[in-house]
Amino acid sequence: MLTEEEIRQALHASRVVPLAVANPHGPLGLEQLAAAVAAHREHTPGDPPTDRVRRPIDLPVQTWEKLQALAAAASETGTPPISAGELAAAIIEQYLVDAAST
Amino acid sequence: MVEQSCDPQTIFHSALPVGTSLIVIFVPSQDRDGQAIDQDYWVDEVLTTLGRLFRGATAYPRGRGVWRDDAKGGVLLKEEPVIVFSYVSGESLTTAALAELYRTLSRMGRQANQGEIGVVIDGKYYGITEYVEE
Repeated sequence: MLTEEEIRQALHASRVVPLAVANPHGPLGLEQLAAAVAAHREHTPGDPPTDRVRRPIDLPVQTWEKLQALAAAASETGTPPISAGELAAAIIEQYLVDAAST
Repeated sequence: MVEQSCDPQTIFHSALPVGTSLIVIFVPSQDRDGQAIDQDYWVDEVLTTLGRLFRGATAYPRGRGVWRDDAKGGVLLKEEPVIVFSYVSGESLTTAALAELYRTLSRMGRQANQGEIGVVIDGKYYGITEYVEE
């Protein structure tokens, strides 16, 4: 079975929220699940996972377009698709790792 | 005569196999601007993807929901999502299958102008807000 983190990465999910619906099977269970999801989306949309933060940064349009092109190229190689934002985050994280080791 | 209690799951053979996961996807009815989308088309796309990846899926109309779009000043959007669900065996729930599912959901998120696409797997909600370019 995949772990929560493996599922999050494969789906490129920006947040993971445990739902307090014990047995969401059958029509009533699914309605209960839908209600729990709707309530959560109403109250706390867009929260990042607790171990990550999301911050807006300014980039030149050309830079963003290059990131999109690189992400699209990377997604064509048979690996799981990656978004421009995820690629930007990966580049920044790698740069910081390299900078810390020199 | 006193009848013995019974286990309906045993009689109907309805218990889920060990290792089965429940995937639930919410197909929205409108975009983040409140405009109606072609929901039937996207329900069919999600059904097709789940059927191909996991052998089967069911669409369950119509729930009701609400979605607060903070990027648009916290406006509340009333939703009538269609719930699409699939029971998935443990060996079918792979990163490759989820990556393929993500491609469909990403396309729906981008083309149908969604703030977030919601997927529930085994009681956990995965919110997808970034969509890849094709």
